[in-house]
Amino acid sequence: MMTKSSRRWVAAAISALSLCTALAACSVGTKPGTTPAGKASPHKVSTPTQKVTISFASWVGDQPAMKKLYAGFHKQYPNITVTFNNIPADSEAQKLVTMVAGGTAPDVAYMDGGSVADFASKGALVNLDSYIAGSTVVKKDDYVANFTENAIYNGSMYGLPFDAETTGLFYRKDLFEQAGISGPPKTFAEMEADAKKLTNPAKKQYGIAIFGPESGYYVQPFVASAGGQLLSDDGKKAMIDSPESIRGASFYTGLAKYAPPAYLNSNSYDGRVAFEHGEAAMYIAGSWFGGSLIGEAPKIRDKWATAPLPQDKECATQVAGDSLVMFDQSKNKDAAWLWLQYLSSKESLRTWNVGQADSTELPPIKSLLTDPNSFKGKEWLKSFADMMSCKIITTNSPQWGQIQDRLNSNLTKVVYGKMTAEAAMQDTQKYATRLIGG
Amino acid sequence: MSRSRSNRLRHQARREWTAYAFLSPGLILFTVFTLFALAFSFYLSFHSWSIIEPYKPFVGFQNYRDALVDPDLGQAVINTAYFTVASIPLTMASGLLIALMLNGRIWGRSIFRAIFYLPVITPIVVSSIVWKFIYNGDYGILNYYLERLRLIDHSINWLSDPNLAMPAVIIMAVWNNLGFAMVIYLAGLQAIPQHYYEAARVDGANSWQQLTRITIPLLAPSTLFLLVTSVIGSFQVFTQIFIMTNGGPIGRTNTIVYFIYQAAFQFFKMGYASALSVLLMLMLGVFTVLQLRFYRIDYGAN
Amino acid sequence: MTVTEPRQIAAARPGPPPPARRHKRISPAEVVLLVVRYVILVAGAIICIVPFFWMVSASFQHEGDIFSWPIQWIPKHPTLGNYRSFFGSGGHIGVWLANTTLVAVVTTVAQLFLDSLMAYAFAKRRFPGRKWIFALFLATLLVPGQMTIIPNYLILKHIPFAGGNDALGQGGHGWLDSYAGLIVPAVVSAFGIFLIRQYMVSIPDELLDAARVEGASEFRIFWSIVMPLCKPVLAASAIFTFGYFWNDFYWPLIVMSSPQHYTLSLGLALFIGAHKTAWTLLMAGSVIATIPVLVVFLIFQRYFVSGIAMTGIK
Repeated sequence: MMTKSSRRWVAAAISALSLCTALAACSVGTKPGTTPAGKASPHKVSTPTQKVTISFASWVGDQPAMKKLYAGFHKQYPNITVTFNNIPADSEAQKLVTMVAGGTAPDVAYMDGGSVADFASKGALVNLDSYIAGSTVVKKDDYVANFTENAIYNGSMYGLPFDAETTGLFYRKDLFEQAGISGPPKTFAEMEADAKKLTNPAKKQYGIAIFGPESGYYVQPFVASAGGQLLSDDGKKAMIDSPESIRGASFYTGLAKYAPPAYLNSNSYDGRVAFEHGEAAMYIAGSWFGGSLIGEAPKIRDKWATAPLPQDKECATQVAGDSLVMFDQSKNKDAAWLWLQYLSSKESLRTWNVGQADSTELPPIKSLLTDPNSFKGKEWLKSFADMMSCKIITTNSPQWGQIQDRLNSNLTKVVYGKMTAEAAMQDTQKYATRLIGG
Repeated sequence: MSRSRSNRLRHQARREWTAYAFLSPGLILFTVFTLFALAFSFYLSFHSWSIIEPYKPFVGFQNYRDALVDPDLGQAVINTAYFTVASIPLTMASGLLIALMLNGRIWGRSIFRAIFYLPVITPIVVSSIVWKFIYNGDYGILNYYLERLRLIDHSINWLSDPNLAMPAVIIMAVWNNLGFAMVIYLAGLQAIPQHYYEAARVDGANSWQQLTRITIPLLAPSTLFLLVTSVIGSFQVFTQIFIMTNGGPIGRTNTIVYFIYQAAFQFFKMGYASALSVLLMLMLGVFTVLQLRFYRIDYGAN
Repeated sequence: MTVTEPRQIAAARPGPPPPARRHKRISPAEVVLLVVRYVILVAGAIICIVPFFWMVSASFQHEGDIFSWPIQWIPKHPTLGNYRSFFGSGGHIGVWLANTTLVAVVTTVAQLFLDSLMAYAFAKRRFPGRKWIFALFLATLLVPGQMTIIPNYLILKHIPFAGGNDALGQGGHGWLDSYAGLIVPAVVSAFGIFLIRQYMVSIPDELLDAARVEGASEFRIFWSIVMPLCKPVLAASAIFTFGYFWNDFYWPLIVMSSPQHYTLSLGLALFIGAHKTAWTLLMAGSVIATIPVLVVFLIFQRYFVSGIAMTGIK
């Protein structure tokens, strides 16, 4: 399994057909306009006086913390009943697409942050700006800017971040000690030197795990740290072959010579055994990786630690997470908002992220992230929280999926020695320019 | 004379009518659920659609043009052909071998049959975990035994070597599917009248001759079935391979259906996905017709 | 070919035909062949059973042991905890099992009957357009199955008079989230028709013509003569169909929304999170899910025995 943003579960193909008579959608239709961003007038929502049922699609509906949150919600709003539509995580986007196409979309959903822009750009989601403006519970300014990145489309909030994570460095303290390295690398140069020192193919030990199929995803923080960008902020121009971007990509792909060859074609989920078995001394992944280590490899619990990603010009990372969204097809938008609002209160976010002992997610709001109590028992998460304000790559384009796919395959070729990093970035630039212009 | 002839004709007409009656449930369901879907896929392949919006501009042959110039797609077609040509004969041959061995009276027959069928029913998630153990370059079981037997002198990275990934996947696919071939052949073997073997033995035929002159020819209907369905299946293979190799390394194990999924679901390009599907169906249709022609679909046991 | 009476009767009994001569001693060549046969079978069996064996082993392990190195083929610290979670309170596996059993059994029975009917028409009946209609059915196999999912979803949603729909199929949710939605589109399968048809062509036409001359209706011929002769292929079809629908994931994913309608594969998929899979629970659930399919196989494979079918009786 890959990381959330780059993982797309391929469902039984979704060949979309619409029954003309039923949907009256045979016409070509009009291209969806873009909602201008701007100050939204507050929309005040009142408690419903009659019984209302809303549906909530997620893959976390059965978790005890969610049940607890619902119990509290129902107590506060006895007229609102939430039915939980639990969909397996890997199939959620596919099922939601089907439901939207069929006109049976749920009222609200908990979805991977990376999908929000996809649905929002096609008019499937409700613009939440006016709801947020009218709410006393949701405090827009408390959200960490980076974590709202995924939830914003065209300058408006279409989702409420519910949990978040950053990408950081996991390293084996025991292997570092053996090699005589005192601490985790802080710069590009240190990382390369450390990786080299830790690599001993005869003993099947390598410095760092690198995965070709996800190279287009994990290269991003290094491009950002080198001062590069992949797309312009407005997503209309590709900047993939700038010298800084190439520098970041060269560095990242250059690490492949210190990576276990057996895992070059694997991904950061399946490849976890490399770190667990000590074949790779360093591992770049999101905070979710800590959860795997704690659960599956208790024997090495005290042998690993976390650190922020090494920097070139400035600290950089990448963010992922899940957001709460409301569907435009909902017939009970006010009630749906009350549920979203309840889930987004500081207390709920604390229950969900901090309160669950085995959760590796970060709360998306500053008031919780700066509270040391939030990391009791999860001290290793602090390295991830520390990066919350670091630079990230923004990919505000509906074509980004295709561009990242091209970047993936090009960088894989670099990792396998079939292409230089420079050529890879230039080819991707050409491809991206063709798709988005500029 | 004329009355019995007209009776016979009436009987014949009635019997023909019953044939259509037998076919009607399937025909109705087919029309409602499949034909409709096919027609609209075809319709969509000439449009551009993101699924979620009703906006569906007509784009003519653009989708098809895009498909035909995509080099990654071309590689996928090659990969799929390689997979098909290599895995199907191996699967069918091993299935036949096992079926023959487990057809006669042999101790533990039922248990062996069940065990050989296990790969078919083992969840793909489980199979992939274990096969990744087996193929692991550093600690895998396969390398361990190959080195022990001195057949190789250093570890082979089965799943991360661009040239070895597909063979590795093919071996796993054969393992996965031979139980299915075994069942088909086990059933087909029961349709061969025993007295043919009797007579052959009387005529002095040995086992090999019985196999090649009686068994294999009379298994032709089963073989045709397996061939047609296996080709169709292997052209549509996706999860089996993707879960092992992510389609790599460097796209050397990507298959056509992966691109259909990716286009429809990751990139919201339903029109393009439909065009790919139409192309895939055309390819498969041609192969299937060729196979049926070759076997002459009316082939019956003689 | 002339076959004497005693031999014919002998051939009608199940089991391999008796040897023409009784050997007093088995030749060394035959012993070697037997040994080779068993070596191949045992070696093959070991390779085939390994992943299944691991799955069973993992279902009795703790999360911290399952991926430890070296692999624990026999759990060092076995636990029943995974199974207990399934059958304890808050577990939905009873519901999932019931739903899946209903869908798989009904669909299999329906398919066995309907597919055979149609296979018979294709195999033994001559009528205009036979080749074309058969080709059309085969064509349905060419469709990447997933391409029919969204259109079928929409068709199900708009079935008239179902799930709150009016005569035009508007207003309600049709057969979505219902058992009918899962079963009805699946009662006929080109795969099953093709499989059974191939077997039926081996049935001698003389048998059927004799019955026709005596005035039996087509259906009678089909039901009383052809079907009993088809036990082996019906058994194969039952095994495949049951296995397929027992494990089907995508169709129930799309059609069902309420937890009380979920099938086993859907329920188990909920254990696969975005980055965290409850492996040991999933393995326990998978073992539970695999057993019925295995049982069905064992029950039906006993029809793969010579002598049930053709003897060329006149």
